[in-house]
Amino acid sequence: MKRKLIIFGSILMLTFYILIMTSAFVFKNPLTTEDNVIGQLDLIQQAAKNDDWQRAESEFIKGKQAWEKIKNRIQFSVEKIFVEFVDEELGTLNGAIKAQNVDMVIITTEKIKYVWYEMGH
Amino acid sequence: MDESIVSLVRSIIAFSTLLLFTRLLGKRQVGQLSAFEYIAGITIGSIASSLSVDTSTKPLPQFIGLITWIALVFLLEIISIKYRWFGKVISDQPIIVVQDGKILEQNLRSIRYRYDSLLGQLRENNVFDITHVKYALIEPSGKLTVLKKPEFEQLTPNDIKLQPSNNGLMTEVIIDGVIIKENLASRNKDELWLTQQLQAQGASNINEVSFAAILPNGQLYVDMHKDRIKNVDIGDFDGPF
Repeated sequence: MKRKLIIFGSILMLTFYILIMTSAFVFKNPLTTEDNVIGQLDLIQQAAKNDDWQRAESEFIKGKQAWEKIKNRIQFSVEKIFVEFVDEELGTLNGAIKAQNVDMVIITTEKIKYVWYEMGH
Repeated sequence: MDESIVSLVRSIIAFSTLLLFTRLLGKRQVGQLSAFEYIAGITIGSIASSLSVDTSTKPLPQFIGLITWIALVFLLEIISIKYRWFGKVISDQPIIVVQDGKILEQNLRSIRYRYDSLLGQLRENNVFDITHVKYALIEPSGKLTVLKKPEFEQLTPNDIKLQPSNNGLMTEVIIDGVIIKENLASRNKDELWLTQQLQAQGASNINEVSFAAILPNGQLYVDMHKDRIKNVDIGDFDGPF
């Protein structure tokens, strides 16, 4: 009985660890209405194309907050380089919005989206 | 990304996984491992440390690497037990390096073993005169085992037809003031006997006892928390530490 309990406990522990290490695949997706990074990037891109820079800036703030939430959830299962890349590109996106550069906004949001789909795979 | 928390979680994963799987790999100690098993052990430790603190890569591939190495070593052990020839192939076999007091240079050269190491290992085996050696073998673990010539072997009670007194195992019955009832029962003793013995040896309260054990001859050995002995200073340094 004790032996079976130890074997079962060990398998459960390893399964739990594997789930933690693969959780980014699930946890990068929005779980509430306030953590949809990809959705916010689309809204920023749309606002920039419409020359609505005030809206682009407010959507960027929401996007940054969404990323901060996601970052805490996925940190145990992704490479540091992915997290640093998104952080860096969000900085560039902020600059592009401030400079009101539509092309740069599109390039940066698409870059983040591209890496986003790779994250956790 | 809080790297401290990530390292903490990953360290817990690496630590418990390593603990779990090293239990699976058996009870052999470092000295009993072959050169390959020793290096495999170092590699496994290295992967575990990488899993623990290297946040530049995903933890899952490192975890899979760790499990794969452990599984392969485990598999090799199983196959070596089942097929003896395979065990010989992967972990080598013992080789004779000294026979009848003569060094077998060719064998020594074939395993790239130095004379210094051979002489050192002979001394570790209490052999200071190579002519006393009947056989000396280098084991797969790299250790030297020595069989001395009969005339230089230590005398045993059997050699002089002496009947030695029985020996056996010591059974601990009290550790830190707590009675180990299972051990007491295994030696067919009860707590009343224990209390009487303790009182006879000057322990009025069981909490005063740090360690007690039933010796092979049936007597009780008692060690108190307060040992009434004179301290012997073996240090030759009267500094503060």
